[in-house]
Amino acid sequence: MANRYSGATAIVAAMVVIAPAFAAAQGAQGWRERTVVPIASGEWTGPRLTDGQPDVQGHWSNTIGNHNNFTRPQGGDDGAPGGGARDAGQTTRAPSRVSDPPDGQIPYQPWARARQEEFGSHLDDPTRPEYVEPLARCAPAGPTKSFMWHGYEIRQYPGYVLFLFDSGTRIVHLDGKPHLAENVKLWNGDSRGHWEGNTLVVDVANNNSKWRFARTGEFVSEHATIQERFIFDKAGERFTYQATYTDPAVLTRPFTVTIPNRRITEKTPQDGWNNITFPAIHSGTEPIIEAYERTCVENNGEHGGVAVESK
Amino acid sequence: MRPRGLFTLMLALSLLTMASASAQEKQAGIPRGADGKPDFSGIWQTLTAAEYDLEPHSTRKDAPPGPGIVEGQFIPYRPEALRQRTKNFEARATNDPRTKCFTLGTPRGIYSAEPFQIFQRSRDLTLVFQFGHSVRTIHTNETRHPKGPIGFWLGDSRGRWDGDTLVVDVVDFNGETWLDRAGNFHSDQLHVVERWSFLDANTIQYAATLEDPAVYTRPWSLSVMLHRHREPNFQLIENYCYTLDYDRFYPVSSGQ
Amino acid sequence: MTRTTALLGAVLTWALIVTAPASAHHSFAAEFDSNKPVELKGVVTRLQWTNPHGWIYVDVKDASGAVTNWAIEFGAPYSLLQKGLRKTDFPVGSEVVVKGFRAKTGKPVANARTVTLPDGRNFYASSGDSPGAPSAGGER
Repeated sequence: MANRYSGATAIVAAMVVIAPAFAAAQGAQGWRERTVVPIASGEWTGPRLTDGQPDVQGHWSNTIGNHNNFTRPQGGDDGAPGGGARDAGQTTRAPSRVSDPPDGQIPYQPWARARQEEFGSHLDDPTRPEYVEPLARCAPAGPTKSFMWHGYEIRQYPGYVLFLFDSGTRIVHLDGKPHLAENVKLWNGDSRGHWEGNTLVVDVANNNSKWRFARTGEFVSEHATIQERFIFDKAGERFTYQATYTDPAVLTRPFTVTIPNRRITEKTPQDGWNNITFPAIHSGTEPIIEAYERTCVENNGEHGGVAVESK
Repeated sequence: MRPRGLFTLMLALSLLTMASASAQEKQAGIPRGADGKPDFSGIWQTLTAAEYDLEPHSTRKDAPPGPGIVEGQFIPYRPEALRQRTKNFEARATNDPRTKCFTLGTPRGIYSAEPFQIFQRSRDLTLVFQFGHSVRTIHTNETRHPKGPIGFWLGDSRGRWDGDTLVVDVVDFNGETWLDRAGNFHSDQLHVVERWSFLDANTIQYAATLEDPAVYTRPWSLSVMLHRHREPNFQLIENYCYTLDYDRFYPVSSGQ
Repeated sequence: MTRTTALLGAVLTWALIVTAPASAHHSFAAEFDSNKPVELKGVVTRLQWTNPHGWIYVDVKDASGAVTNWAIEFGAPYSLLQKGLRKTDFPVGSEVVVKGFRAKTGKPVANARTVTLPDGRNFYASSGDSPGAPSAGGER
């Protein structure tokens, strides 16, 4: 096919095309932070919904990293060649997402630690179906890991807070209705919440235990209960997600996860990761961003021969 | 206030409300949001057998009988599309995309056999379908469709109010879904216009007009009634049934 | 529609494919080999533009004239769309050049790093998924 561009135009065209992609790469790096900005629980002084809830609606994403490695957020998955070497040269690292106990490790019983390490070591050589990370099959990420993947959205209504993720949906009921029966086990659990000042307090039950915290294989059992606190800052720009996991079947004591999050606005670079939004088309002047349909269907599609062994 | 005085006051208020309502041609007795628009928030489900077959049909091994929900009874297929529908029907047990379990599509999700929940605020309606826990956003903030084609499973939905009726324009489909379990289908050229209105506070009248020049000879319409779930504490239960094919690989309980 | 039929056929075929290692979309390193770079020039035969990865299928002719159909994994359609890349940029029958990395299985499957379209536009197309992937707009 004949090249329709002159040399100079082609160079300019290439720069115009590549520059946003390059900026997007910088965007993802620029979004990532290595410290957790502390936010105290307390009064809420910002805007409210008609039912009195603090209004924290919008697009958000976590600032530390993805779900490659739960306790070393800038590390690679442990099964990858040279996994530890990726940390080399970094003088400050983001803290482990396990904020308690202080050593940053999940306080596993020995049998559970062995199960976790077995999964993590096979991630890049998944010879058995149980070594395939469930998120890779488009399974919902679970109540906590949902906050460690792509940017997501919060929508609020009288009686509900809705979280929309790429990997699924969480509906938090604020009306105090009882939990579902214990034997109903769910990927994202069953959530009941209430507001205390600037903090959304959520109790999650009905955990199905099938999701992993990260590609390093951390998990909890179907006996786990989760107490979450979403602590929003006064400026409406950041919130801290904290979740305390209690699970005597798997742990020697409870542990707490801390994940910092920041609001995505029309000024946030589009990086296809944290900011998955697009500018809406409208006649007004105010900037409106929107995310498109969130689906994940790869688990059911052919992908060129790399497929799950059929039974 | 004594009961009789209270009654008189409430009667006066009702008469006043009805008078102003008729002056603005608004329905009384339906839920409304702070913006005055009808509020469709709630959990809804149809009672029809439309999910099994949109057209009138007698009983089958895999479907109860139904009178159909298509205006004019039958879908006006192009001849080659009708042949495709027959092939779809014969292979429905394996070829119905519902069996892959990620989403039903539009408008199939509305008349499916499982409930869906509407969460409404001024700028949009969020429809969460229990089946697949999939989400469709109907934007009511005067934004327009994005430049396509992008190819959505549920289409891109933009709504506006016509009195107390929500009119929704849905375009930009990927053509991967069916309209029911009987092989009725569409292409990526599908265009749906929906009309949502309250019959009463607990009943929605839903109508959709479908056009698809690749499949139908002309636009056609369907309509169903949606009923509000009022059982105490009723809620959607997440249904990610596509995980059933593999979730047995991930049991983690104590002692294993 | 032919494309739908082809896709349905592919889905049914998928159920019969048995490979080791058992695998699905996730970390780059689980499926692709950064030590096996490939450059593929060929004609687009099919698209599967789904989340979380778009796939294009390309007929590549080798020196002897034999044609192999390659499956090439791209990033999430919305991340490609943010860069200005749409499925309509890959019409069936168009010729593209893709640079990427081959699947660990050795099959004609690759993860795309860059793609050049017939009109000369060049894009980073990667799924930018994880460490283990050579960086090119990929996230860490």
